[in-house]
Amino acid sequence: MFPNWRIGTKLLVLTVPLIAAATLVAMWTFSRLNAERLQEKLKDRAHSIANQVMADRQYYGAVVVPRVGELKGSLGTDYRDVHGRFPLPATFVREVSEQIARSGDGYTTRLISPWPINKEMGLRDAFEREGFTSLAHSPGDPFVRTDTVEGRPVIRVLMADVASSTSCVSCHNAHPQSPKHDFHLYDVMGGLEVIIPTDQYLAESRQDMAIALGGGLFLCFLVLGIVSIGTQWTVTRPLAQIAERMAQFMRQRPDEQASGQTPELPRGDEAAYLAQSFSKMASVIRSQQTALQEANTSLEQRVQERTAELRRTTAEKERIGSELRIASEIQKSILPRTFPPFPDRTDFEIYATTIPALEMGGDFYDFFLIDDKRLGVVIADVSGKGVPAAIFMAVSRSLIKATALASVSPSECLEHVNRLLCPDNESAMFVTVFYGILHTESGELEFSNGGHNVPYVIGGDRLVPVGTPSGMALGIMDDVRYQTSRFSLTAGETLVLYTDGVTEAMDAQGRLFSAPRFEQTLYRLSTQRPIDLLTKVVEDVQAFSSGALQADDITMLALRYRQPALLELTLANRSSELQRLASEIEQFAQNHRIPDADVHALSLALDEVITNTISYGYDDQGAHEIRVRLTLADGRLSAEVEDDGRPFDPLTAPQPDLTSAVEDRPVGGLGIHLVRSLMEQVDYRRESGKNHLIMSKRLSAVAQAEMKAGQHGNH
Amino acid sequence: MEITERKAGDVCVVSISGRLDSGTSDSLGQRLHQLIDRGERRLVIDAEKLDYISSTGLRVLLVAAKHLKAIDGRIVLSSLKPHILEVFEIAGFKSIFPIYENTDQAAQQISA
Repeated sequence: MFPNWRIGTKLLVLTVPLIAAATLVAMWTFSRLNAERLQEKLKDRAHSIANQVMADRQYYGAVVVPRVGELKGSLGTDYRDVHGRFPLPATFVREVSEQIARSGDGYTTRLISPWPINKEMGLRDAFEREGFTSLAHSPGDPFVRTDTVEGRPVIRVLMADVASSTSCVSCHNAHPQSPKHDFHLYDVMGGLEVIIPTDQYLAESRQDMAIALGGGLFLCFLVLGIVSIGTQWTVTRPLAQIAERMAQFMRQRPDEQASGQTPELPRGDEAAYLAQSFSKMASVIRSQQTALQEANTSLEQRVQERTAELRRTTAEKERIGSELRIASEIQKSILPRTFPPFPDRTDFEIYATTIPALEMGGDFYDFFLIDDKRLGVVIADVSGKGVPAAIFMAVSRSLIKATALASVSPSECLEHVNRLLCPDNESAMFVTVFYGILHTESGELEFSNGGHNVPYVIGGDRLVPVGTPSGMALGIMDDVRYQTSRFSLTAGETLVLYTDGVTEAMDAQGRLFSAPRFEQTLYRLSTQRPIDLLTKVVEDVQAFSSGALQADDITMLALRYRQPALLELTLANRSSELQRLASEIEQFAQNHRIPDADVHALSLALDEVITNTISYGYDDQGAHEIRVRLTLADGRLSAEVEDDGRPFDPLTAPQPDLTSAVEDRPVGGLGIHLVRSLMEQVDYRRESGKNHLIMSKRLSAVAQAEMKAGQHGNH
Repeated sequence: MEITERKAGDVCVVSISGRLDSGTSDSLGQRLHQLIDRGERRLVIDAEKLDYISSTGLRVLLVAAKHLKAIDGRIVLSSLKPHILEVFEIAGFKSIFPIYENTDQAAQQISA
């Protein structure tokens, strides 16, 4: 509303119209009151003049006129010219009026009548006529009006002239020049008009008023000026100073503010209080600003540091993450994972699996041939998880394998490894180990258990724990003794090693897979081959714990013991040896109730291979040995022929002509063809200067059963 | 291995028993050669008692068949045991040697 005006200006702008309006109202009221009072005053004056004049005439009429009659005088207007004549009462009044008019006050009196004897006294204007009409009704109330006569404002008063004595009535009624002859006593016979000019009184009054107003206005403006200056001194200037300081404060940089000078400030009133408050506020702001700035700086610095740290941490994390992945890969890759691990060993079948939990665990399995007739199997579980467990696992595995290969008993192996693990085991880790040695010829299992879950042997319709829970985990005390126990496996039985990740696998409700459930599963699957057995157990465990997070590694190893090599022959490189081979095979077939067709196929294949070797295999004429090793296991008949003849891979021989007519049919090349046709699998390798040919076929009954099963499976 | 022969009209029935392998094939080869030399042109190999035959035995039979073919003679087989028949099949010999269920049938077929 008042855009950028100063407070003083605003006060003036608000006050001046107020004073002006008040003045105008005062003037108007004052002038009105004054005019009324003046009029009233003049009316009273006119009244009193009229009364005076009328009193004179009364007196004249009552005292003088009767004496005139006694003295034989007469009355007339021409009293100045005729002796003994006296002025008529009306003339007397006129004379008095003239005297008044000459007094210089501007007052005029005149006796008038609607029925004048003297024509000069007749009614002249509207006022007089109206006045008489009014007086006719109420003779006691003078008729008063303001008017203008000869250009001057005047007040006119008309008072009734009543017939106050009989002489008046009789005189007028008798007067020849009277227009009316029926006057009665107390009739209104005429009126006395008094005219008082008002202009000079009004002028005086206005002058007074102007003086009064002027003085008032002067006083007003004086007060205003004082207030304005006072405001300037007490409010505007202090405020302006404070405003200036604020502006200055805002312009300054924080450091300047901090050292800024404090200018003089007013003291003692609200402005001073305001200024003090501002000073305090400014210093508070300064200190806060400084603090804020410092905080800002340090915050920025901290953000930078934190960012850098975060970047380092992230890089570190990524590095560790990838190293962990690599470590995990290495950890997995050091476990033997090629199956079958010993393809030419038909006397046992081994399979192992480990399903790592999310975090690297410390489960491991291992197996190795100590020599031709002894197979070592290990399962172990390192306490804890993560990298330490993985490292401890790798160390433990290497120590166990290295020790085991030194051909010691299982208990000696565990004792030795335990002694090696204990001294450097600062992180107090330990490992539970089951180590067993299978004697492949006899099926005897030598084993020692270092605090590990007791394994099972399954097969046929039995499920037997191998040993009892015994022994202490490795890595705890360096002086622990371990026991070697024995368990006899019969052909077709399977040793199952496992870690507690299997039995302690949990479902979504936190229930354990548990040992009884595991035993039931194993019992149900006891005739399965190791690979199928473990695959199905894993499926069972995973189906059980579906939806739950795998908390621990699930590790299992299954070793199925099969019958040892059934027939081992060493033949000389003479044709006559073939007869011996044939009869040995026949005996073998009889002993093991091998069907004729299968014996025939094997026998023929061996005949062809060995005949070939005897006939064409040697560069010299000397004596050589041909070793034949025949096995039957799991419905599979296998034969391995080892000779030291010149390198010859029969699998590279060309396919013979089987369709030409007799005269074109080449003679020869049929032997190898027969071998390949009769056997399901033929493998050749040259090793240590010797040819190894390994042939095998399923027993035809087994093949047929499998074919049937396959057909069922396809439905 | 034992080899016996009998005449049935112009047909000579050669019965083989036992094993026909690298140790015995040569003697069968010589025997068949003699028979052909002596003028036999219609041969029935009776394998009823043959237990075993290797590629060497097959070769002897093939050589005899080629020989007879060249001089317009004939050789057939009869009474093969299943596993012997299988070997013949594998070797692709069924297209060379007509095979009959018994010697009479075989002799009848090749008799002139």
